[in-house]
Amino acid sequence: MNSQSSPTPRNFLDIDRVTAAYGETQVLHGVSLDVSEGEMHVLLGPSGCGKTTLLRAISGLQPISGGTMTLGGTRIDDKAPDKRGLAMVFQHYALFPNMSVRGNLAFGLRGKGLSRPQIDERVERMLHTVDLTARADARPAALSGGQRQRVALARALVVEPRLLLLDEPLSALDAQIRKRLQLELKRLQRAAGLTAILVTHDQDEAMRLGDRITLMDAGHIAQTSTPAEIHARPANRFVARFFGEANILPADWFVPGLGGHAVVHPTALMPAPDASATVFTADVIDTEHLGALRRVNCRASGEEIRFDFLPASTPLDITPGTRIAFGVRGDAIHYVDG
Amino acid sequence: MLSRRLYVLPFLALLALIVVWPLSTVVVGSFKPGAPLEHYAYILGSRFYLKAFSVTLKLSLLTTALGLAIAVLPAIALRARSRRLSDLALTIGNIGANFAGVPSVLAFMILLGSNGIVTKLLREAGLMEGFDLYSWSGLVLTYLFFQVSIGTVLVLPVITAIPRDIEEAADLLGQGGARFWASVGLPVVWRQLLSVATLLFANAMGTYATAYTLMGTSAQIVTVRIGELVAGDVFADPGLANALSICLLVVLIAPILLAQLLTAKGTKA
Ligand SMILES: Nc1ncnc2c1ncn2[C@@H]1O[C@H](COP(=O)(O)OP(=O)(O)OP(=O)(O)O)[C@@H](O)[C@H]1O
Ligand SMILES: [Mg+2]
Repeated sequence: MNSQSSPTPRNFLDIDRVTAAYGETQVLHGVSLDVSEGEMHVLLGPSGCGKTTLLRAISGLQPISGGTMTLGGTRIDDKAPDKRGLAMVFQHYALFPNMSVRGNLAFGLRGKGLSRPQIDERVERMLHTVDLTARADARPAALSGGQRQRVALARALVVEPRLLLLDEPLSALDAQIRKRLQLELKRLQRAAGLTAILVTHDQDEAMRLGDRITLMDAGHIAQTSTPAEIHARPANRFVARFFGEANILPADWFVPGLGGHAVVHPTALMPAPDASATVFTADVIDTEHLGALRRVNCRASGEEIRFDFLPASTPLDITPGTRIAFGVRGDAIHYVDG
Repeated sequence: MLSRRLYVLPFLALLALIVVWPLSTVVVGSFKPGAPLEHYAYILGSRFYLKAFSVTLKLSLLTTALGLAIAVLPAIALRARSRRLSDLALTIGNIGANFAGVPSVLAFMILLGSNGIVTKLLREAGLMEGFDLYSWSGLVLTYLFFQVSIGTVLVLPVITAIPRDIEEAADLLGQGGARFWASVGLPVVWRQLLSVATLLFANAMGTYATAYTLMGTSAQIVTVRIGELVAGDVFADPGLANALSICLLVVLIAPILLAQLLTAKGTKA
């Protein structure tokens, strides 16, 4: 690739123009990504966009066809997977079924020049951290989904990796346990100062866990930003549409003559009290309940509009057929090209 | 409920027809009128027949162990490769399994017999001194042919079914390759491998055509002994043949039951 040496990388993990293919099909089209030390970086994107492939490329399980990767200042893309100093949590946990929980944790510590008591000590400490001491002798088949997940996490953490890769680690769990484990995961990562890349489908999970979020689109990176930033200031329509079911409206509704589109979140619309504040009027099609929020689906000049409000603090009498005048605060509008 | 149970009837009828009926005929036929256990006593006191049992057992156990090992290693190697290669191996194994018996032995004779093509070549090269196809080593070789073929067909799917991600997890932990197979891969499927071994063993114990084609009645194999007692015009003694068959069945079933017991225990733990 490029032969001129770059200065010491500022970033802990530096992925530079990585490409990967399955046979003839190119899946990663020059992906560049930086992750700082101690960061929880979330990879998000629609199914098939290449999240798993990117994670596997970083781990070395998937060969790359171009680009470079450095971790902590050393090239890793030319190293064998087990020499890269990283650990991975697989989507379906990939626990060793013939070993106890303790055995699963100890397996990765074998042959690392540790004495038996040293291995035992580290395993016990990790079991305690993930609260599995009581189940240490159980086989994976005898564990609940949440417990298996914790074993998978513990098995990855016990080898003290420099980078932790998590491929949809919580997607097989029900919502209740998922929320709890999200918190637990975040706490663990913070406490250990761990650098991690987490793949998820779930944008709530991404927002909750990510220090930064990278949204991928068909083998490209669409945007990398903090959760607040990516939500409020999407780089393009793809990103805007992905988050929060934003309204993507013609920009000249707001600024006459302006091209491109305006991104307005459903909670940013305000029913306008007087004509001077009105930007557009819309006809209500139907309403739905979204927990505490009420979603109003309406239509204005051929565009579908989503408007969310809190009935508890803003009692509005809205029924299908009602016509509503909407205003928007200027700072709640974000313009994108195209 | 009752009508569902009726579905098993054809199976039970067939079982009675092809297993219970012949087996009971053999059992009844093995008892000598007047001195019911005399045939059995004779077998247990006969060096000739005891030798046949020990040779058959040794041959079966050895070729089962070797056959399984030879089938498992390529299965592991092919797993890492493409789907197509393992399908090819499966096909070859299938062909081999169907080619077993007389045709395969004839092929071995043409290649490795006293005047075989390969024999001549190897002899000229100064190799293969002392190898004789019509001997114990020839028996092992011809048995291995079908043991490996059948073994491959049965073992490949077992090895292929081991989840990919647990192998990758081991790779990432620096415990890939032989370490993975010794500590995780094979232990995970040992029950299935034991079943395959049982099948190979039973198959070898019951083989007749391979040994008979290769060595005629000089093959010291229980099935060949039974065969000469049934068909031979000099030694015909159906009663003794029946008793030998029952003894063979007992020797054959004992390890199978043991394997079943082992597997059942493993499941509970
Ligand atoms: N082994 C493979 N052989 C061929 N193509 C593959 C293989 N694995 C993945 N692909 C293709 O590569 C693309 C990216 O797949 P990848 O698994 O990385 O997506 P993903 O973002 O992880 O999707 P998901 O969210 O569904 O897990 C997809 O189009 C997929 O069909
Ligand atoms: Mg994936």
